[in-house]
Order: sequence, then structure tokens, then C-alpha cells
Amino acid sequence: MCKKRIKCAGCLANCRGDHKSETCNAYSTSCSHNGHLKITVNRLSGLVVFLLGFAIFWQGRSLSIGTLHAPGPGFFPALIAGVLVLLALILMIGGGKKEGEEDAVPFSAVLRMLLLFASLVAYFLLLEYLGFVIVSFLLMFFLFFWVGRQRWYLAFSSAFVCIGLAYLLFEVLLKSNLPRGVFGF
Amino acid sequence: MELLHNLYLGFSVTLLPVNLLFCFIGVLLGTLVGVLPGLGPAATIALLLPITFSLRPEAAIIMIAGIYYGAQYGGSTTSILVNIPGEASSVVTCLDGYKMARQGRAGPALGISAFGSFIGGTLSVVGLMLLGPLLARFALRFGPPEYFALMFLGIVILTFLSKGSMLKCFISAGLGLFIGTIGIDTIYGVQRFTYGTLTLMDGVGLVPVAMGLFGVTEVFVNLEQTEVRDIFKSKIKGLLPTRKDWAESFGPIMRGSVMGFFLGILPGGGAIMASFASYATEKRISRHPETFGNGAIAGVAGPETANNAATGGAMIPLLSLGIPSNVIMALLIGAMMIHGIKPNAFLVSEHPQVFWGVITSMYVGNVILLVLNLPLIPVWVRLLKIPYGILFPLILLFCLIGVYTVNNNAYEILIMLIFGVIGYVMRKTGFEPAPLLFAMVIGPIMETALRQSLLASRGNFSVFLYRPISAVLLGAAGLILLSSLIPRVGKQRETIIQETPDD
Repeated sequence: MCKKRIKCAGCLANCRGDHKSETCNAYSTSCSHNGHLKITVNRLSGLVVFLLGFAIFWQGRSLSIGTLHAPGPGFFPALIAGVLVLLALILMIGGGKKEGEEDAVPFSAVLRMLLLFASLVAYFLLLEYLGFVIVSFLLMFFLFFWVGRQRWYLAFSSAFVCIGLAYLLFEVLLKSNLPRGVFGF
Repeated sequence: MELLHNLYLGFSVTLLPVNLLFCFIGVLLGTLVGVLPGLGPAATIALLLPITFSLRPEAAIIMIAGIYYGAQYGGSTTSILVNIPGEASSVVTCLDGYKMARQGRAGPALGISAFGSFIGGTLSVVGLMLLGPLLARFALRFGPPEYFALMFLGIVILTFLSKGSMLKCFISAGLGLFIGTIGIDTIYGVQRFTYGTLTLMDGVGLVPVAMGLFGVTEVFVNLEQTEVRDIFKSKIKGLLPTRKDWAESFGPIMRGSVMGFFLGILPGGGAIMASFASYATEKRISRHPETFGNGAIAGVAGPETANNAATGGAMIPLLSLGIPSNVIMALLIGAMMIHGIKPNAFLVSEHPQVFWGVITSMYVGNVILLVLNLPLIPVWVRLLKIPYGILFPLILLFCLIGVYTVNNNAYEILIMLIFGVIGYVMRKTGFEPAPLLFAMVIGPIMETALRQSLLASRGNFSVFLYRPISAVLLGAAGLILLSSLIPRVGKQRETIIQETPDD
């Protein structure tokens, strides 16, 4: 039995190959489940693009396509949507053969990315209420402390210095009008 | 005489202290981001666009051009010392440059790439100066069909040269073209895909998309990798190449300059193609082809010269036709538009101080780079050791501030984050983000050209084939498309492009 218990990307069953090497690759080659339509990265992304093409058609249905003599505002979007649908079809049909050899992303990395993304969205949501200085300071402290893995006082002081310099450069020197929050700074 | 007059005008712009300062800042920043993997020139220029608002247009464009060619310099440093190309165009430098460093010849490798870059950069500026105005005059004969054909060729070349499958690159370009249609239709003034939001009325901004795709995505990608870079440890000494090194490099440098300049002119191609072509040529005509890949100095000198020479060539379609030849030139167009300068065939006559000022600043910038970089190499090496955990919060902060200050609109931060995620998913599924951004910028120009052509020809598509210039351009695009279907060419393309990193 495969020690790494890798699931087949095609039918999501556990790989039953006899893999002794560390690089068990149930992903594309070892598993041969006949009769199943393999779900590959290419097929999946092709499907997304395919649907996107139709979404463009649908969302643009109110725009007039016009005639070839006088193309309207909907002409070019419809043309692109058509091309996208066509390309996506080619990708889906030919996509079963080759497989992207990307390794699966480890769970801890996914978690870190989700946290990072959440913190950035929070930044966007809070920016105009709390103001640039506070929100940016919190973000930088969070990032230095959590990913930079610095001690809290180091993270605190580097965040302080960064925001101070950024404020000097953008607000004082370049007069960029960074958002002020309810506290007036 | 006219040329001398123009040069005088150019230098009188360039040598103003404020412009010199921004030229200096530009090349310094360019080298810096060229050295740092994870922050490319595209993201840097996008970051700095807001800062250029308060500058005069000449100063802004001089600085941005400086970042572009400065990054080509910096990219070679990491290729040679760490075997990680800082920029896509320095990939081939890894082959022989890193080998040279392993053999204890890091100094001459860095030295010759700096000198080669200087010579290539300078010669290409001479070419730009001589050919630019001529081509601008020729460009007056370009009507909408020619514009459309040229941009189509640009997309084809760019997808051909991008990493990964060409089909996926075309899809990526198609998405970019669609994003370019969002906003107000240029001919009828109808709102398209805006859903009544003010933010989308002017279209999806170039800056948030560029920073999302190249800045935020890069941070995501780097976060999942925890590998530690193996940095070349031994001391670097003797930067000056010996007489023998010079003798071996002279030919490659000269050929690289010419080849790089002309390949740079082609839309979509530019520095990457130039460096590959130079390496292939040098290997083919060398008397000792077996030394290539084992630390041949000609394999460093040629490509490094060619990729810098391409930067001069790349300015030609931009300054004479208003068509960007790569992503960075697309951002440069964005910068010019912000300052109310429409890049087109009339640029030379309407804004001579910009045209000649930028050209002459490239002479000065190349000199600054040479003087600056030889002594600064140890500093760049030390910079490579900054842990990513410190670097990435700074990159993010810059992205956030930069995007916000373009229009003082917080929703553009949201757009940037969305494109950061889109970029990450695209990278993971093998779609390249560069064609998307490129197509997004030229999309509106392309659409207008297509519709105007059809209006003029009363809906007859043969107009693209009856006009000689557009027929040649479309024919070239067709040839490239067909050739990629031939298995051998496709294989070769894959082996060459495979190792290309992202910007």
C-alpha cells in the first residue's frame, strides 16, 4: 500500500499503488481508474473560464452588439466572451493528458495565507473609521509579530518606526491625504 | 544639426538638478528591486505611480524609465550570486554566471555584466535617438487596422514567450481584454459592467490590478515557501575583467547590443527574447561551444548586454506609436496619461522636452548605474540576506498606501486584494498574470481600433488584409501561432521558457 495515502486526483479514491519511493505520485500516473472522467486542474480551470464566458454574455445582454457596419458597445465584450468559451472548451477537451505538477500546499501555509488575507480585508474595512495611523500600526504589528516571528517589543517598535516614516513620507512630504479616522488623526 | 539641437534640448532637461535626482532615485530603486526576488519592476512602478503625481511629467517618466533599466542591472546580480534570477530576462545569466561564481570568478562575472549592460544600454539609446523620430514619422501612416494588427501581434508574441501553455496565456490575455472593457464605452458613452458603482466608472484601475497581481500575489506565493536561500559566501574580489575576459566578451557585447535593440522594438518580446537569442547565437558561433554552461564569460556578457539594449528598443513603439511593448511600458503609458500626455506619433513634436529629456536621461542613468553598481555590489549581497518575514510587511504596507493614494478611494484596496487572490489562483493553476495586465492596458486601444476599422470598411474584415502593413503584421502573428503548433518548436519553446521566473 502507498504509505503516503495520497488520494487520486481523478476519482478521489485512496491510491492503491505499491509505492516504495518517497515520491509517490498517485496524482496523475500511478492511478489508472478506467471509465472515470478525470478532474484535472486544467479541466476545472477550463470549466471556470467557460462559465465566466457565459457570465460575460449574460451580464452584457443589455449592451447592444450593433452590426458589423457599426459595432455597438456590446460587440467587443461579446467577441471576447466567445473567444474565452472557445479556448476554455479546447482546454477542457485536451486537459486530461497533462497535469500541473504543483505539490499540494501544506495546511499551515493555507492557514497563514487565510489569516493574512483576513487581516488585509479587515484593514480595508476599518481604514476609514479608525484612520490610517491606527489601522496600519495594528496591521504591521500583527504581521511582524506573527509572520516575522519577532519578539513583541521588537515587532512593536519596528511597526512604530515604519508607520512613522510612512506618515512622514506620504502625509507630510507628499501631502497624500491619508484617511483620518473618528479620532481625527 | 537638428540632432545636435535636440540633444541640447534633451540634456538641458536631464541635467536639471531635480531631474538628475529622480533619475538617480529611479536607477537606484530599479537595481534594488532587481536584486530582491519577490518584488519586480512592474510592482515597483505601480507602487511609485502615486508619488509621481506631484512631479513634472519629465521627472516622472525619467524616474520610471530608470527603474526599468536599473532592474535589468540588478537582476543579473542575483543570477550570478544565488542562481535565482531577479528578473525574467536574467534567466540565462544563471547558466554561466552562477558557474563562474562557483569557480571563484564571481567578480569578473558581475563586472562584465555591468560593463556589458552599460555598453548595450548606451548603444541602444543611440539607436533610439536615431531611429525613434524616423519611426514616429512612419507611424503617421498607421491607421486603425494597423494599430489593431500590431497589438494583436503583441499579444501573440507575449503569449509565445510566457511560461506555461500558450493556450492558458491566451485565456489570461482574454480575461485582461474583458477587464479592459469595464467602464464607459469610448465611442457611445454607455456604461459597461459597472453596476452603477463610481469606482468602476473609470474602469478597473491599472495600479490596483498591477499591485494585486504582482505585489500581493508574490507575497502569498512566498509565504507558502519556507526554503532558505543558499547565498554565495566567499568573498568577491577583482570586479574588473581581465584583458582575456574582454577579448572573449567584445564580440558578444557588440552582437548583443544590435540584437537586443531590434528585438526590443517588437511588441510583446523585449528583454527576455533578446537575452535568449543572444545566448543561443553566441553558443552557436563560438569556437568552444562546450564551455557554455560551464562558466563561459561570453555566455554572461552577451545576454546581459542584450537585455539592456532591449530597453532602448522597447521605448520606440511606446514613444512613436503609443503602444506598450511589455507590461512595464504599459505602466509607463499609465503614468503619461496621468500627466495628460497622450503617447502617440505626435509625441516628438508636441512634447519634445519629454521625448528628448527621457532619451538623454537614459545616457546619464546608464553612467550612474555603472558608477553606482560596481562599488555597491557588496551592499546588494547583504540585502539578499534580509529575512522575508521582515520584508513582506513592508511590501504590503507600500501596496496599501500606494493603491489608496491614487484616487483616495478605499475600494481600490479591495480591488487590489481581489486581484491578489486571482493572481494566486492563476499562478497555482498555471495561468500567467503578465498577459492579463498587458491585454488589460491595450484592450481599450485595441477595441477602438477594431471598431473604427469596421466602421470605415463598412463591416468588411478584409480591410486588415488589403492594407500592406497590417497584412504583414497579422501574417507574422499567424506564423508564430502556426509554428507553435509544430511539435518541435513547441517543445523547444517549453524547454527555453520553463525556467523563466515571474516578474
